[in-house]
Amino acid sequence: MNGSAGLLAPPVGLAGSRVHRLGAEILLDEHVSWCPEGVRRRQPVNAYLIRGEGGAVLVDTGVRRHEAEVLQQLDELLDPGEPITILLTRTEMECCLNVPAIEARRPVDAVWYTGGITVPRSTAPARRVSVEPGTSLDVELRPGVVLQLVSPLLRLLPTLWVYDPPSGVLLTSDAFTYARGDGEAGDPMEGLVKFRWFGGADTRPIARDVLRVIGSRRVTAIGPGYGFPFVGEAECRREAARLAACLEEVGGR
Amino acid sequence: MTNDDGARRPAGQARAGGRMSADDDAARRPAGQARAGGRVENLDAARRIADGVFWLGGCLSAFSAGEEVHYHVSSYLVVGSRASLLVDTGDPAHRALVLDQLEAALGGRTLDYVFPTHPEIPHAGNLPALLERFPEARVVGDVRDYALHFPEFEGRFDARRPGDSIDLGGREFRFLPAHIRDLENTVWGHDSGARMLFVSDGFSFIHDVPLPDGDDDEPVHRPGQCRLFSGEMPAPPSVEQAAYGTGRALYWTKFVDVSTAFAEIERMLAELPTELIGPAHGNVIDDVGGMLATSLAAHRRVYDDARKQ
Ligand SMILES: [Zn+2]
Repeated sequence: MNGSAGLLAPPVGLAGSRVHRLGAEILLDEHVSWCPEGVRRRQPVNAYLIRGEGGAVLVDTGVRRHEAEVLQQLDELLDPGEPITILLTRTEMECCLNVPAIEARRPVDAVWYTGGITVPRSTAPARRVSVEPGTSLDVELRPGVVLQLVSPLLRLLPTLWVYDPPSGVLLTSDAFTYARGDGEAGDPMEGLVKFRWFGGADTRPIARDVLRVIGSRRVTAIGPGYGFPFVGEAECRREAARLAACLEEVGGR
Repeated sequence: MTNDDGARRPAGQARAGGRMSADDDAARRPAGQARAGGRVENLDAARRIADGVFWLGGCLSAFSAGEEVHYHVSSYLVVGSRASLLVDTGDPAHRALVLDQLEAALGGRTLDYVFPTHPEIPHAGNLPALLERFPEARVVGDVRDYALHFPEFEGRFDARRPGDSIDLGGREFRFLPAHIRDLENTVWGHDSGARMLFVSDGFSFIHDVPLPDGDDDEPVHRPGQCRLFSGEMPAPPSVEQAAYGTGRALYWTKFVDVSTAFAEIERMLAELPTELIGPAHGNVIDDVGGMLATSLAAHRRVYDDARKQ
């Protein structure tokens, strides 16, 4: 591993040496599609590295604007030439566009994805995984690294939340994206900008699904694709309840 | 579920409904340029579908019940006397094909505007290649997020909102709200010259093929039926076929009554005469009235079926 000197942005530990949050911050304003009206502040866009005995899994890859930061952070956390497996929670651009740059730097043994026609990559094999919404699937992505791929009802495109049983970390892709990181409780409504369809739908099952996913697991931290994480079992349960309440509120019956 | 793709699943831990497949290069490669039985002679070239409008792109292939099926990833070039505009960039798997088709269709002119209908790979993935090839080209539409995805081209993105238009010379290109969409930042378009509506992920239907295997959610056609108008296909899609694609590709439509969206579409079509509809993944629709009826019936079926569950 390299020293930390000269890092554009250091990786942030989320669960000991097991889970790290990578990426950097953007200016969240009207130039960003998921920005709530009138908001202007810094927001992290995240990728997560899960390290087990059998190797490392990178969940999402950050935005291309942060390509240099993500590559440096991987160098900091991994040995030179150490292979990784990439898992994309959605095939949206903020998740997948750094795959080719990562492949150019180190071996990528597979890119797991949920659909959406093609995935940008150079040579790594693409592996499609399809999980029925409302269910989950345990997949051993590297030897000894078994992750639960949860298919939430809170979604737009085919989406995976990723639960890591040893650490209790739940990575939630485009949900739970509202934490501000300034000590203020964020507003869960702010994270629903891209789910306008909820306004025409019965959202009660979606709210129940959020409560069930978190209530049925020991969730020690929630790591969203953008925004700050929530840490602590009590805090995670509380945020699930707050988000579920907002989901019920926005729903058209 | 296939389990021979290297990712070993601990026994007994897969829950009902989960599925994995070894999708990969073999199953999802750019489709061969099949011509047998097809009416389009040269798929390496853009298809001219109206005065000043060209259908570009290619097909990707997958397997459905052991049979090879295709789905379109399309772009449309609109050429006026003053300027040219490309609707969607095509998929990176077709980068060279699209650039060649574009070069030929432009006939020595340059590309002035690229309009990706939304920031997904099959719609915007070739932006870097296009912007490099055509250094004067501007990206128009809902351009939020593009500076995060393509920072090297910051400064070439111009916001155009629904209701805005561009005078291409002898024809007007109008930006419109996307009444059927996946991502919120989707925009539709309309060309007054060919009276053609561009609908991105809307109105992409399955024709004349068995419903695909469970993993596939793209509208498919048979090899040899590439880049045909809906009226050139052997049969129009059944409501069942349309419903299948609709429910898979646009998850939310299972939960939302689309009557309001269709009323908006009817209003839009009443205001903007439309003879052709160009979806990104289906056949170009040349029977607008019939297809609207099929599509609305399909959306209703998807919604009703989901409520019965
Ligand atoms: Zn085809």
